[in-house]
Amino acid sequence: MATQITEPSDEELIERIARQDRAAFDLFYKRHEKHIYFFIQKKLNDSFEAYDILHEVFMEIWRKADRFEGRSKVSTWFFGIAFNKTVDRIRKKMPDQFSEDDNEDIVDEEVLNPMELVGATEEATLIAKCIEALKATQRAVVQLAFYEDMSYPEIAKIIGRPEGTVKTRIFHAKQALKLCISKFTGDRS
Amino acid sequence: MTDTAKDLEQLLPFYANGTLEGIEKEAVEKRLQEDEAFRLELDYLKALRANIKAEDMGQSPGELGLARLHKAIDADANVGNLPKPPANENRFWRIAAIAATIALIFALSVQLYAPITGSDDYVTASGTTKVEGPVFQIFFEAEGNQGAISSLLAAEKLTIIEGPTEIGYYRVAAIEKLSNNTRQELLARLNASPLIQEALAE
Repeated sequence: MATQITEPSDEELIERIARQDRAAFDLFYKRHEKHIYFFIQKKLNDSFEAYDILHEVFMEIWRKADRFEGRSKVSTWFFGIAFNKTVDRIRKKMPDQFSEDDNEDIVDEEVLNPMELVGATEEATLIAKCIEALKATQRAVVQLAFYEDMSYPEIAKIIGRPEGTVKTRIFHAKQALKLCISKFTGDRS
Repeated sequence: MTDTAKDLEQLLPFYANGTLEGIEKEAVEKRLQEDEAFRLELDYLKALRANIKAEDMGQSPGELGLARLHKAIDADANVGNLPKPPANENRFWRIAAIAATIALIFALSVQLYAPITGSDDYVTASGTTKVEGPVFQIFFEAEGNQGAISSLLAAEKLTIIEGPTEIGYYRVAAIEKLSNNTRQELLARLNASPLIQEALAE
């Protein structure tokens, strides 16, 4: 009878990392680094800085794995670390991008410079360009909801804001994306 | 739009990604049965999600990033293992620190009051060629031979201005100014080269 080898869960890996198990750390890195890097890079649009933050995130995972209490999913924990480090970096570079005074009731009508869309003829490219044009706060929730398929309570924990804010942010992001896409496709439906 | 209708609209993205549960999920499904526009909105969100999910995550630091982490973890461990200096050594270090501070203040004051004659322009590592183009950070493949790398740099009109840095990359600059598009195309060519592990624009 063939023996079934099961991959260790994230929780098991974190327990082992807390005991300074390098092999567990390497496996955890290989499992998640691409997603975390992509998440950071999407918000910063700077691959070099994203690489730096990715490094800081994994160093924090290595150093603080023993403090993970299992009250949330492991992914919620490490995306939270990545989010906070990215926000800190953006705050230093572009303070207006993460202003806590954002009025969530105002639909963000920021649109792209038409010249940026000259080459964006394919739908996927157009959507990607419109997502880039969102505010960093909205881009984060869109990515967590649609790329990582997270629930709104999980996203609320990651970004450290109330659940209502997450729902409002994604609602406004959706409206802004619709507006952006329709402007360049002429589709008003 | 009523508050309830707005609430349901705000929940729809989480129905589309399959994370909605319980009463909220039932409420959304009830409205979907009754409201054609709401169903169209769900189709739009599903298409949007499919599009976002189809996006290629592109290159990530991969093994290179892991090697850098190993190095940092080793350095952490070494710091933790260092023996504490005996108490009587503190006095020496205090004197050394004071001397170093005085030297630093002197050096800074010389720099501050010296006439400004230089510029921020980069020159090649050999100090011979002035470069005007954008700067890239390049991690070369360990197996790449020097001749092939030199040929690649020459063909792309690039020159090394610094490196290797502590984490192993070279800073390489285009000799001529480049438009944004040309810069992006050059970056893509560099990343596609078998001699290069990763190239990043500064």
